[in-house]
Amino acid sequence: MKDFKKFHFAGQKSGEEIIMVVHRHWFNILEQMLLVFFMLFFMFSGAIYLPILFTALQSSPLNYFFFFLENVFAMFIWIFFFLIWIDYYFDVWIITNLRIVNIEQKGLFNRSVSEMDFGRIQDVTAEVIGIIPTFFNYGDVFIQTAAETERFLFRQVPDPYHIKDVLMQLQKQRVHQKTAEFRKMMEGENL
Amino acid sequence: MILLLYFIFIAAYLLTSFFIVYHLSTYSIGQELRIVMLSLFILVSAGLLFSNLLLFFSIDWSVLTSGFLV
Repeated sequence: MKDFKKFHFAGQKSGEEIIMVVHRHWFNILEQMLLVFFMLFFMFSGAIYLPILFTALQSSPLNYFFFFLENVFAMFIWIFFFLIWIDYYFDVWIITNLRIVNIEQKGLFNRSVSEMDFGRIQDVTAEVIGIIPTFFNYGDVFIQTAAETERFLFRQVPDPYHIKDVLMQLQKQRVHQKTAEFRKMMEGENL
Repeated sequence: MILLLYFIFIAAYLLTSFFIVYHLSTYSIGQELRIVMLSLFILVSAGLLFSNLLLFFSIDWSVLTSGFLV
């Protein structure tokens, strides 16, 4: 298992250990990155073929203007790439030994953080639907709580069945821990 | 007019870059990836900006605009 000792998130409690950090599956970002690849292809093929097709672009001052436009396009692609990356990389589910933290990032100015204690979990369902998700083994993990909040959906995550198993295991541990704590408390009261 | 439009473009680029750097430095959960992404973004963005400024000021805009507009 991956070591998450170097990982830290805002609001992490003392003694809280990160067990798993889950991002969306890489195929999900690939769909968005296709536009970036297409723009890169357009930019490079333009830089190579347009001066051949239009010879006026090879002479000054048009050639400077042409490279300036290519450069502006490159700047746009670069920023666009990072906006997609931020949307992907900061959209994360953090599973710790105490709880699940869901950080949802949409663009640069829409960020929400929610959390759920393992004790509240009633049922966990993993779902893989479609040919590509089945082939690459990614899908959704739904967590049902007593309150039936819809906040905890692991969307398009890799290996959802493994995540489900980990969550169920941690939930059982947490319930045992809480029962033991309750028993101890009751024994203390009886003495 | 061109200079004003260019100033708006550069200001928008710098502002967006600032917010990207802010997000990468504040919200990254992995220390190593934070450093890699920050250095990569700052270096490439600065390089693109520098080359863009050089290209902009090497263009003879009066010749170009007279050629296009007249």
